[in-house]
Amino acid sequence: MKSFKGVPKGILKDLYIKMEKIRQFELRSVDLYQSGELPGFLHSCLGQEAAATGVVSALTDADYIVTTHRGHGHVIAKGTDLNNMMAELYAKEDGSCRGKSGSMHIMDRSKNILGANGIVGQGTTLGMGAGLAIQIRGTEEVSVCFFGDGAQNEGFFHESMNMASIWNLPVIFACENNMYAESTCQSYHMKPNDVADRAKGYGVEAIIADGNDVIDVYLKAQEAVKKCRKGEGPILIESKTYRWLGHYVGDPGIYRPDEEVEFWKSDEKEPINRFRKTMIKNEIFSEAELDEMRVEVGKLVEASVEFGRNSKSLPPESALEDVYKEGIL
Amino acid sequence: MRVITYREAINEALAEEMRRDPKVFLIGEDIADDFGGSFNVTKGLSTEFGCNRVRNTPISEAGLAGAAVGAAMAGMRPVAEIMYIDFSACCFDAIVNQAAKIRYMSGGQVEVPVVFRTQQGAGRSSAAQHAQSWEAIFAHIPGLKVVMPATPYDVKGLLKTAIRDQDPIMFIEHKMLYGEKGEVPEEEYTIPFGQAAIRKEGTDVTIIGTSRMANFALKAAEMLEKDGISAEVIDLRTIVPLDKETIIKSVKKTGRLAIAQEAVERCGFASELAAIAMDEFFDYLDAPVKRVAATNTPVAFAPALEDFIIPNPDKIYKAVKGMF
Amino acid sequence: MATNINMPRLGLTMTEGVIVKWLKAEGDQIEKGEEIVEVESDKSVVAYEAPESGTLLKILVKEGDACEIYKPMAILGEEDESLEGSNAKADATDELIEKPLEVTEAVKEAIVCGKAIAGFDGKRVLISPSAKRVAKENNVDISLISFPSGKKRIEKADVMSYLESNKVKTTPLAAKIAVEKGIDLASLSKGPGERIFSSDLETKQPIRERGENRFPVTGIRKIIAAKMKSSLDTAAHVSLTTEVDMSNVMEMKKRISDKVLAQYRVKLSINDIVVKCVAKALKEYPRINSVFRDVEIVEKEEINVGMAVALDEGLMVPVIRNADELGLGGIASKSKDLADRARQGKLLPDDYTGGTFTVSNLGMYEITHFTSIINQPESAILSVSKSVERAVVIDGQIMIRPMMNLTISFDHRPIDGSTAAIFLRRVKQLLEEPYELVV
Repeated sequence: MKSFKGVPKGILKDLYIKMEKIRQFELRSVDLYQSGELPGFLHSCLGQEAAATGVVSALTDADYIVTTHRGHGHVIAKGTDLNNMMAELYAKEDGSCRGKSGSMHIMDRSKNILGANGIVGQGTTLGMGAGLAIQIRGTEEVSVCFFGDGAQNEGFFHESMNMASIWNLPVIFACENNMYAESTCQSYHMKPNDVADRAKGYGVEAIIADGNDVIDVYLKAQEAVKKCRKGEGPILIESKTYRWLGHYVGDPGIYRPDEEVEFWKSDEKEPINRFRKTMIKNEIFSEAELDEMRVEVGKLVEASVEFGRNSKSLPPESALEDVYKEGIL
Repeated sequence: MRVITYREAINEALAEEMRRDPKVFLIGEDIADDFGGSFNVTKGLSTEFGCNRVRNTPISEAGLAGAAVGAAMAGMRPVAEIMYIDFSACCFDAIVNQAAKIRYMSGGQVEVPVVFRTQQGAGRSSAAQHAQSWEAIFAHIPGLKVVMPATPYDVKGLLKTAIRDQDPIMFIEHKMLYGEKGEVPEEEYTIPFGQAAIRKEGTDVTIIGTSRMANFALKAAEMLEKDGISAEVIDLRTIVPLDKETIIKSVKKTGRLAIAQEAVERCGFASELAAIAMDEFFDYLDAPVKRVAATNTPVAFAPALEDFIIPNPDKIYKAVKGMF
Repeated sequence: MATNINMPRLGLTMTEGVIVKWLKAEGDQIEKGEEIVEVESDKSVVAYEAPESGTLLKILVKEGDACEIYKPMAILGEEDESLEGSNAKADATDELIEKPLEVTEAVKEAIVCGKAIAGFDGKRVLISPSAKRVAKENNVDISLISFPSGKKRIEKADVMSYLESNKVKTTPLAAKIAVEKGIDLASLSKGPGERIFSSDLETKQPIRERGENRFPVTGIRKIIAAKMKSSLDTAAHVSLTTEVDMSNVMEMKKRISDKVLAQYRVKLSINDIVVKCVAKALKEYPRINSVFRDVEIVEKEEINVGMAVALDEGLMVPVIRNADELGLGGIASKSKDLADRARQGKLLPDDYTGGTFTVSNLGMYEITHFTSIINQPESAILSVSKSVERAVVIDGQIMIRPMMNLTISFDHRPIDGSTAAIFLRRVKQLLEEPYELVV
């Protein structure tokens, strides 16, 4: 078959490779972190590959994304170089941000990634601002801000939704609802069942997607992007998904019942296996083909680890650079 | 030379920069016509440039400040108005955690050329939540530049420089200066950052002031002149970046330094200048550095109490006299 | 090129001088060092020597008129030189400019002001950082600065005032040399108001080459050399010697030493007694206390006895003025003070001018006999040698007595041999019967 649900094979391959990249990069970085090679914090997005890939794949290079502390997936999906990304985690000179950001704030201007953000929820205002920029200059890009179910309780989210709505900004508010705000479950931290319900209060259209079905997310994101480019934004997409690990790597996640975690990690729910099954069942790709893609990705990820390891350490004085355009004052 | 007000000078600067560069836009509460801004600063601008580029916002500081930062990251040059510096507490994150840090965190990839225009200061019985002076708080955040113009000439020249600057700027006007008149040339000009202005030359003592206090220092200097004390008055104009050279040269000449600040005394910028004095010209001091600042209290409503709290020319005069 | 001859400052308190007599007339050729005018200061009349050679072109201040110090009293220049539009300035190299010290690292090594911090009434000296800096740069001992009234601390302006009033004056050339050679000008101080000339600095620096050390003849050495030679050229030197039995002097010294110590806080020395006897004798024989001036002999009424004091380089002859009016205690006190200050380089002009007779004592160097060169413009000088216990014959008996040789070198122009001999005999008499001093 040449397509599935209207999505051409080429795109499907791209979707798969992206998810594999995210999955393998995350697995590898968790290992490296736990063995002590990577300093700082790591907020893994294992389990949420489809939610990230689906939305980002609906965008062009010119479109902006703003993501969260759990942003590796969006950044990889948007096409940032794995080598530079790994080098950044290693805090080396070839890191995309020259060791100044680390995992939580990865930025890649060349891919119009306006950065991951360590302040929960603040990305929504920044993404909304990017949308404002697009509207003022009259171009056709779209701005996507990712956030979780925890973030949408912050004032930032509400102010952004409101402003985006009154001006019909070309902004997609992409919520990845993994049912937990750090250690607090959704049923505690908000009254409605769906984040999408909030949108009604702002007069904003909302869509709910199966966050672990990359094709579902992709198709719904495409719709949203089309509308935004026509000036019918903003739109909220809520992808229902789940994270495999705790809030950060090292968090034992005792606040989640084991059965729940097992359930979401099972082949039936887990995004990559679901996709593979669907591709094989519908004769888009054979298992062997998919395995080959997987192996290729593996090589890339391994190469990035080597790159990161061997990259030069930063001279300490580089701490004084980039405070201002003039360097330091 | 023609004489215009401080607010007219700001209005001109905004208009000229918006004409010059289509990427410049304004965002803030109540800034569009017919209201034209709470202090009438942006009057006429939405009429000329449209409501696309002069964006009124809901009462939503976090939203508007964050939007300004996001827009700047996406290539625009926003000038965001925060009506009172006291409200910057509501969008503190956007200024200090986002705008100030994004260049650094991105290793220089992403720039945030945003100007946060705001105003501060007392003098109108606006009371505790509407009369504070917070320049020290922002000066303490690396990545921000802090500008405090005291005259119509300076405010226009410095605002134009601010809008063309590639870094996030806290552009702090003063509510009591909007009506002040001064000579402003018609021709195009800008004033660079990091260049203090010597408003009066003198030999016996250096008095540093910022914003309204620079003007007060000048008045105090006139009073001191009658007593035979020749004061040199320096208006810093920008505190980050700071013109250390002018200060050093002046105090090496006079041997005495007094600093007038409207902000609360504790941990104000005057304390930073006193520390700089230790580093740069301790051996040239004939007396300890003197700070003339507001009391360590919130600003009271009653005019008599406000007068007690806030420095004025007479207090500066007395403090400087006591240095001899 | 015409230069001014300015009224010299002959004493610390002198603000103006009166022209007593011009010794030269307009048009006269003058040699450097030649006496050209007698000037009376508040203390004495001094014959002033020409600072350089030339023709005395114009006398600006008449005899009997007063002139402020440093103001011109005459003009010196080339013969036939016109004085049109002359406001002749002094030579640039030694122009009297008041200039504060330029300091090098070497100069800074001198007095460190910080040492005095604790010493101000035992409390800290309250002084501003700026004042401290200026004090250090100028080698000012801050404990010497009086605390300004009404102020909280000594400030830079106070240090500057102190410097003004205590400047070491130099000529620009001398200042330049001091900086170049790292000489501490403060150590050369001739006293407040005295100016350091470039020549004063040059004696300090010998040139060392293989096998020899070459000392430039400048400054005080040059002056001594010239003066000694000149004296020998001028005066008709003759010397007479006598022996003096010093037993009674020794005994007197033993008896009154402690009284002198108690009252004058100085030790009485043999030389002090000699000076006293000399002073009394001079009163009786004024011809010895005179100045020979080719056409006249001037017998001085004041008896100002100079004492030769040896320095590291050269010698000075400070003067005990009116020695005849002083008791032994007074002479002892004065001589100690002058000798100390001579060695410290702190003599004032009043201290070394106006002498009428000189006493030179080399007894402490084991010298038993010597002659001296007359100290111009005086007419005689006494050389005092060591007292040595010797066997002498008294009334046919051999006795052991402390014998001292006394030699007078005198100018035979005003003083004949017999006159000198009678004088010397008188001194001997007084030394051998010192109680006559009390009469």
